[in-house]
Amino acid sequence: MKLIQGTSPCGKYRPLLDSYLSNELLVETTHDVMRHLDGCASCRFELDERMRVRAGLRKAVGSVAAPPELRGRILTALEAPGRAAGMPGPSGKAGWMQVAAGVAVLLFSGLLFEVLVRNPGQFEALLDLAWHQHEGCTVAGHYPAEPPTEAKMRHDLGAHYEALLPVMQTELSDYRIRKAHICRPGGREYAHFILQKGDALVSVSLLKKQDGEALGRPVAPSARQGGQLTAFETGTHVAFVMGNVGAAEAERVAIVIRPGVLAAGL
Amino acid sequence: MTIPMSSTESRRAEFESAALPHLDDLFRTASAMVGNRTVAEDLVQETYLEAWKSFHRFETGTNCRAWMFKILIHRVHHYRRKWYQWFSKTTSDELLVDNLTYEAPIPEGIEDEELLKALEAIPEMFRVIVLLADVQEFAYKEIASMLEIPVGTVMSRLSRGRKHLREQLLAIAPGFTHPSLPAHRTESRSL
Repeated sequence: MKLIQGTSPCGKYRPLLDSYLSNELLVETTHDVMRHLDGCASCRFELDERMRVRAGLRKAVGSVAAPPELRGRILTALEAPGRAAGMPGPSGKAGWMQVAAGVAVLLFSGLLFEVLVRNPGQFEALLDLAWHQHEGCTVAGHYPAEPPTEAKMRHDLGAHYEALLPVMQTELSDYRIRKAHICRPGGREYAHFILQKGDALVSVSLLKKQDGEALGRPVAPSARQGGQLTAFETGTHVAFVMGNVGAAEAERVAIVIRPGVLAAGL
Repeated sequence: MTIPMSSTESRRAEFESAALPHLDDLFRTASAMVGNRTVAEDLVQETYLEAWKSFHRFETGTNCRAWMFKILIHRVHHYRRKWYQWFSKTTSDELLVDNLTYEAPIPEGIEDEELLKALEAIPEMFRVIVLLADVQEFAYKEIASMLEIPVGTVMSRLSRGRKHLREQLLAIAPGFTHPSLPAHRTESRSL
């Protein structure tokens, strides 16, 4: 760290105020700063301002409370079969692969368990809805022969969903976007993307949740006849990733686009 | 001392006793870092599952709170790895003495929501350190360990994070213009 100091007394002490505020200075330096503060109204005022902002910040962040049910969810997840942790795991590369596979299985089985227990009917209904309304795009390969231009895709997505386009372009750069538009099968509006990589076709669709609709948990995989469906949930939407790809690829697509979808405010 | 291998029940009880009291602080920090309560819930749950899985490596008597936060930071980093490079170890961080210029007072009566909005607006690499230092009161050394960056970088990012936060607060204060603009340099507000 390079410290560029001024020549005035304040120039010497003002840079130390942050560490003084954090109680991170040596005792001798602390005394030096205190002596300076005794005789310098300007630095005292500056310190008071920083303390006031810090106190306000603590109060504001402290006003955010964890949802009451979160503790119960964590305890339930810890109880999941096979989660006898707190013990040394396997070592070496093979061991870590076992650990990774185990974590994935536990995570997704835990998530699915949670989803199915919490709201089995709605969960299945949402996945069925999405699958039946979009399976033709991917399983049957219904998409234009010529890929659309970016301008057309933005136009077809509209102002509310065009922010998703760079998410797909960036995170799924190994795929080519064959269609991006708004569709309304069954009277519900979807922002819909069809992506292609060789023989692999993936459809990503976002459905705005209606009152009370919820998957319950994000990133939920589900095998379907002729393909794979993975869903995740944001505050306002449910996103469906489906295609003629395997479960691992569908999950990967869901996981890599999810941060971007959230960052796009959906 | 490494935790002795007793029954799963006793380890669970020990884990819950040591880790669960930090649930609210972990959630608050996660929520402020990712700006989304649903994601924050997931990250905190993942943090507890990962902590429980590694609990045999936790040494009784050491700082469980710092350990849990370190796991949370890694979960958040993993979550955002595609979007932010806020763990990048820059070597050019400098503690500049650039704060002797006129510092406008923060107006009174700032609401919690405005403070949270201002916090959310500052860059991630600074926000996390402001949260850990100013809200959770971790020492510089603990933060450096959590983020795997030098203590000097913690200091410079905290300084800049506080400055960013202050600028954001000034920006959202009604009727106030940032003093760096020459036309308004004489404007001031009394506390």
